[in-house]
Amino acid sequence: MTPFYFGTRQRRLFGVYDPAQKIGKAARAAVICHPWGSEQIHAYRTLRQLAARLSQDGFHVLRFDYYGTGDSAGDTGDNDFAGSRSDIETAMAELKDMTGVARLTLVGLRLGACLAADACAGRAEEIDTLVLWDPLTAGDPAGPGPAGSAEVPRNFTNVDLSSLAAELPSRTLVLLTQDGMAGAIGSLAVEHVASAPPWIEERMQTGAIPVNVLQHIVHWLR
Amino acid sequence: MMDGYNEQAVLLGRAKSLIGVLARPSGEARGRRPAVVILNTGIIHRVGQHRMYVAMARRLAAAGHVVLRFDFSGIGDSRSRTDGLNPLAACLADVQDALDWLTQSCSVNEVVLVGLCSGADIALRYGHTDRRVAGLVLLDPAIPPTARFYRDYLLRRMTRMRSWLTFARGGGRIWGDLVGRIAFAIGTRSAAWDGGLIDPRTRGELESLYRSSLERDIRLFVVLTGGDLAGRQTYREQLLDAFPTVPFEDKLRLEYFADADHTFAPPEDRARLNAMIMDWLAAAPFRHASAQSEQQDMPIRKQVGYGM
Repeated sequence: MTPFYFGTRQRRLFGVYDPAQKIGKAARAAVICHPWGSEQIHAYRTLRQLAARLSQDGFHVLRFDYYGTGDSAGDTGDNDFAGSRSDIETAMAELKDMTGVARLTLVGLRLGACLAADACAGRAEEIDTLVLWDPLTAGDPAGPGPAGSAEVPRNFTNVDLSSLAAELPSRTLVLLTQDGMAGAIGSLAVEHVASAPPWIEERMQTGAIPVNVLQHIVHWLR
Repeated sequence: MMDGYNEQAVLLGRAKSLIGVLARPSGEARGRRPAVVILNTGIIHRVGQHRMYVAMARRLAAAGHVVLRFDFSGIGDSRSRTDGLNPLAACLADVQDALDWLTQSCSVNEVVLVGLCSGADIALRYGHTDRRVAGLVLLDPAIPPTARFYRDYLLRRMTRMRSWLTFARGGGRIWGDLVGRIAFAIGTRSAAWDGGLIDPRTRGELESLYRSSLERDIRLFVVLTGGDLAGRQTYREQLLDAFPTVPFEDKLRLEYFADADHTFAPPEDRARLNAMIMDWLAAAPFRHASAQSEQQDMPIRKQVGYGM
């Protein structure tokens, strides 16, 4: 595991690189896209564990903090949706440069799933596999919006996954762990794995790693 | 380099298993003592709740302090330990590893530890065991309840009908604490009972830790919050009332954020907190670290493995 800063002088991003522990027929590489705000903080260890599992399964993995979040440069609130999407593109370029792998997998959780889907659209030559884990949608009881608890960046507009479906990689997994979150998924195929949400601070659940979800993702990516 | 500081990702510890971010002053601000080490709160990784430690570290670094934020073993990006230490002993060992790394990599020999909640408790337990520690910033450390705390707590709760119903049913904090104390006093609860902050043994242990810190001439900056209805403390002097025989005197600066919640959620509370820490670091008469030879000769850690 190598923590490092990358990006430009004006937009330094913090990332952690896990090299592939076993190389199969062809090296694979994945960028993990974090959720946003407190969801990013609460889910941090879970995504670290996902990176470790993918690394053991033969992926080079880069996870990173968007500008203005986590350990990356910028003040909280400095970033917006388009900026975070451009950060994913920066991370993809960094991982390709580090590993030489031409086509990537993106794995996004919550808002990170929306950003990953948006970044994927029309990039079939660069991204061949996409995992959207509990994407933050309009049908989500936790938000975004006044009634919801999820924090979102400036200029966030609900990503309409159903309208993006035609532009997403043919190998796309929408993974839902909560009831009532399928509202805006549209025609995309969905798989359900019941699990406590790692992005929420709950008295009896905080810090628990949803191992069944991580195993499901790793197996699906094989 | 950014606005008077620069940041670097670092790997620490004997097995390079701990991950942290070092913020250093750049340019003219370079070289103000002491260095600052910020500890995790619970299982939240090194950025802290609301990213509060990122802003704190950057502000302190821009003012001239070397600042390290790192994750304890098993938290955030850091690997879990494999040496079988219990969780508290592991945290204390991790703090020592972090200070050793700072000493070796940044020529630092004088450190202030900053911690919130469990981080404050670990800072208090570690500080007096290591001569490199010159000060502690304790944000909502564990403080036993006092008579005035119970009175304030009751007054706050009396305005809520639900609290009355809970009290009438024999539930709630007051009943729980009373029953626990009485049962322990008359011997119907065993010596193995862990009564938390109402346990007289815990109070004695905390008192001893404060005494040891003061004997080592460690300067203390304690910030308490009172905005949470669940209540850890309800007034500024609760620390002094809880430990009336501890000679804090001028080695303690005590502040009370009456309306702030436990995690300093509003940005203005965090900005005020950071400004206070800056002021305290600039004004506190930290003892100079003793001569290097003395520091290196003495056992760095006298005590590990307090019961938690």
